[in-house]
Amino acid sequence: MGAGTQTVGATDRSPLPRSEICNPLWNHAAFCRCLIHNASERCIMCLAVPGKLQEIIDSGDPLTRTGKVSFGGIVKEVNLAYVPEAEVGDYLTVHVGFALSVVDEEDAELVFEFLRQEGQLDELEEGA
Amino acid sequence: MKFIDEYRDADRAREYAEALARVTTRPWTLMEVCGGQTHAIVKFGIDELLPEGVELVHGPGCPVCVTPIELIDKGLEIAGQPEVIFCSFGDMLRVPGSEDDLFSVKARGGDVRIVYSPMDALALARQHPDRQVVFFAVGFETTAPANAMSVFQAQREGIDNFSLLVSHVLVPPAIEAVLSGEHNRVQGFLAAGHVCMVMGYEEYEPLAEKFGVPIVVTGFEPLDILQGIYMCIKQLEEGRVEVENQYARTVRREGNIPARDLIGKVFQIIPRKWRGVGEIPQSGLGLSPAFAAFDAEERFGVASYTAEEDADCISGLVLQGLRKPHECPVFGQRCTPEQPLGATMVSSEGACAAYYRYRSRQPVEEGE
Repeated sequence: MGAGTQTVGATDRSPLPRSEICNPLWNHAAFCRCLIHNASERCIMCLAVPGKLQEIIDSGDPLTRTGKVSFGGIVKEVNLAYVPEAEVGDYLTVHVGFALSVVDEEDAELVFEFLRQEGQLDELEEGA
Repeated sequence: MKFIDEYRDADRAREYAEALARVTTRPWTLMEVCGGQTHAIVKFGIDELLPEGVELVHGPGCPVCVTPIELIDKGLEIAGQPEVIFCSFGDMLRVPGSEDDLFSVKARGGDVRIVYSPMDALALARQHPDRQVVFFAVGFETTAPANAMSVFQAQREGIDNFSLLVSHVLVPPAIEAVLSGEHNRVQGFLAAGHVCMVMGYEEYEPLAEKFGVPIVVTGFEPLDILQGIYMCIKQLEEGRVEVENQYARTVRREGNIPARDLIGKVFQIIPRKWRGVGEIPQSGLGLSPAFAAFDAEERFGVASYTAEEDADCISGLVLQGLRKPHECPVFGQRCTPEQPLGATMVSSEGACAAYYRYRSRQPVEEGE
């Protein structure tokens, strides 16, 4: 990992050219090696991608309520039946065309705060 | 991309690695259940950042890999029918059945299509009322809401040329099977974040208690996985046994209630056979009686098919975490992603494919 490297991936031995970028939701190794998420090898069946809800298209039927969701600029229509609470501007976790969770932006910071909190706890314990 | 890039930061990953080294005093064996996590671990070299003695074993959470060979055979039989449009996620096309795979059926003129969502298959059924459209519904709990919705809407709209070939499996019974195994050495689990996004994690609490293992609901990016490992090892070191949620930005304790409700209507829990593992009681989903008319196995008369697996393939042991892919004598030799013997080499999520792509392609020498 060089000093300028932003991400962790040092062991990928088969990087693909960015020209192969296509539908970010269909980043399947064998068919579409999309590098937008650098996640080309992930299985579509467990892959869920966060995207920003830009517009709600209300059909009047809660089961077919959809929204336009932007994944790094690529906009897809996504079924919102399972996230009735979703509002424009929310980030949604989307899996095979369905939004399944509204990303909690406060909880999203926890992974960065966690070690500091742990460290503080350890120091408190040592001081006690 | 927001909520992705910042979770791959190398400096923060190193901080986690250092913190792990500080809290770890002895060897621990953890299992990541989900194949998506396996790939992130191998791809980003997360296992190489761990303190010596901390081992990650790769779990059975690859739905393509655990789909039994007879279900592939059923799919092949149905896909070969002239009136059928057979729809599947791309991964299933190269999974070998007893004699063939779906690509071969397609090459022979079968109408096999890769779709992104079961709703795309339902749309095809609307467009082609004279054809039978079958969707190969493979997956863990994560994919169940989409599949449930496709059948629910088909029934509501009276679309009778649509059906599902269901191969749904569930994570908690697989964890229980691993922990009940005679040779089990897993001491803690990273539970699959996106499965829990749908189902929540209440059902993991009795498992943690019964077997005395910590379970940490974990996301898929490198920092998520490192934090999940840290939380799990911290519990082990402190002698705690809890279900904790590392992936709180996406996972709520109760999961997604509307999705769970619809899954409960459309599906029922049934025993399922897992490729390489065998039958696990109450480990899968089948269509409930109210939606039985949409069962492709019944519609095409293939429900009674059975088949045996290739004897050289150790994918069953790999899926149970008892062997690593490169310990297989045919790994990278007779078995490659182009010519796979077992599904763990086929699926982009399979442990063998991950090792093949990112690691040494030599099988382990005798005596090593």
